[in-house]
Amino acid sequence: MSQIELSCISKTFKISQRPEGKFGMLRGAFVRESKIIRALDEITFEINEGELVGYIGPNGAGKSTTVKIMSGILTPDEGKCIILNRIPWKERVEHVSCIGVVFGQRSQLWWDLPAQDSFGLLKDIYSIPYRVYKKRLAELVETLDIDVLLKMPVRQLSLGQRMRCEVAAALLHSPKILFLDEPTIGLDAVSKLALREFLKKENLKNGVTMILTTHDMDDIETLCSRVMVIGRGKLLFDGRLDMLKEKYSPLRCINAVLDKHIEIFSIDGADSIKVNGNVLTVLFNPSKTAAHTMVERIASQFPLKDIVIEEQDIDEIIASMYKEMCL
Amino acid sequence: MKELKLYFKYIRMNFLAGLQYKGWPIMVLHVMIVVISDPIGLIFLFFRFGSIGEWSMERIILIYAMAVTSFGLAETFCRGFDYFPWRMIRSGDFDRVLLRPCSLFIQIAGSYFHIHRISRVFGGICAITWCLLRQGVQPTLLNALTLILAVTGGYFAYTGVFIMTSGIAFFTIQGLDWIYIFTNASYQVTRCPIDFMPKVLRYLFTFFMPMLVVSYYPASAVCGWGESYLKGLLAMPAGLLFLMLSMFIWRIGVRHYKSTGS
Repeated sequence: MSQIELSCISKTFKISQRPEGKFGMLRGAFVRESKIIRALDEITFEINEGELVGYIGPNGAGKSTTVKIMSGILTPDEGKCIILNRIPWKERVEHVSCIGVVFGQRSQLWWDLPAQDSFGLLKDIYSIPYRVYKKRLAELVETLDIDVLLKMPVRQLSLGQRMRCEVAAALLHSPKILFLDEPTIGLDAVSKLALREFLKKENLKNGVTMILTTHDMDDIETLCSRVMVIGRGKLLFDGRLDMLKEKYSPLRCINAVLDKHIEIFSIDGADSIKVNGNVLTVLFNPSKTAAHTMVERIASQFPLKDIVIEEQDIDEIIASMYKEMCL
Repeated sequence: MKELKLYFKYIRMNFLAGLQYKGWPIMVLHVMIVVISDPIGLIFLFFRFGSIGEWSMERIILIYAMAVTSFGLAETFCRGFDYFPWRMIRSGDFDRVLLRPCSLFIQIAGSYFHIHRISRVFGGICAITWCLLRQGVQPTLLNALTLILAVTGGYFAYTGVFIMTSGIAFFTIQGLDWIYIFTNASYQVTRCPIDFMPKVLRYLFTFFMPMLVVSYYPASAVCGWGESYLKGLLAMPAGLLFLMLSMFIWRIGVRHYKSTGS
């Protein structure tokens, strides 16, 4: 039985616009022209317990709206949404005590107080028994390495430090489901890696279902086995990451370093060839021409200094996918 | 019970957060000066001309002080609602509130607290005591009860105003300056003797927002200016009724928010 079940969820927003023309600004103060935008259009998916799902899409595609509906902040216009056998917006209190939400752009900690105090309050908000709280906090403090940060006012923490505290705050009550809305936004490389590592561990150890919206494709690649792509309110893709790659980027890329400058030339089976000084970049489709044949063909013409075969960059795949779907 | 405990935790947090900034004693002083300077013109006027008919200075100060005390109490404990539209809806922090498994009321009421608010209550109580002594009111049980219930009713009424403000803010997001008629401006009105008050204002503050019910009538009953104790004791239910009306509006607001988004 799936833990999260959405079927045919739709949501429209009214957006007011300033009237156009010379006196648009003045008229806008009195008359509102509004436009109806379909933020979500019959979104349907299911997520099982313990899954780690990446939810991606361009800005304004409806990612946050979906998360808000799943967490009970918004009511959809149509459709059914059942999470842990509850309708989120109907049984708000019961629902939110089983989920955790991290907004990368917003804080749930008290700005002027040490994180410790915020945690203490959260303990009371979620009515966590003292001993359970102590144990859980010790566990989180250790794995997230936030021991020294607990006593500092949150406003004095760096973004990476604060984010670790945010994650701890969201997991304090041991939620079954964790929603992460752009958790790695603005973090440096070290903090990003540490955070990913932690999320992965938490998922494995406690079986927390996680849904992650992000623009950082490395997040998806390292964390998520399943990806959902949304664009203009429609669910465009739902499946494993390698399926996404296969579908939208069947090509492999050979980067070869030669020992001299060369002119552009043709190779059988290559989809595109680029030459930059003594670096040769060849794209090919391994289902048509096998990799060893391609390497042989190149090697027969030039002595190779170095060679790397890699998948197309995931950022590029997503970009081309958005483009293909006219997003 | 758990909710109440939580509310005080919230207040404690905000109190501590407020103390983090070193300017707080100045704010206490600032509000004190406002409380004292508000009616000072009136006091000078009365010193010069004596009383207006039956209306002596003590009478007016008493009514004013009762309104100020109830306002101060509401402001101390529920000002979160008043700041709510500006601080929470616009910034999207209200989402966070919805994500926590406890009453929205408690969270918002406790979302703002500052020590300097208490100076209004303190000043109000001092003024009430002084006026009562000057009027030679007997310290009977009934009098004490009437006054306490009046202030409680006033507290409910003003809390109601704050809640109503934030309820309406769900629809307008901002631009609620007119609501000041019922908050900071409303207790200014009490400085005008009720006999000389325009009928419109008198009705507005009796039957819609029951401000005169929680200040004038109890004061009149206690001091024996002609109103009955029955009317004086109406303060509490009137305040409660207004509070319930506000809560109703607030609930509609929350439902509206959830279906339209931020």
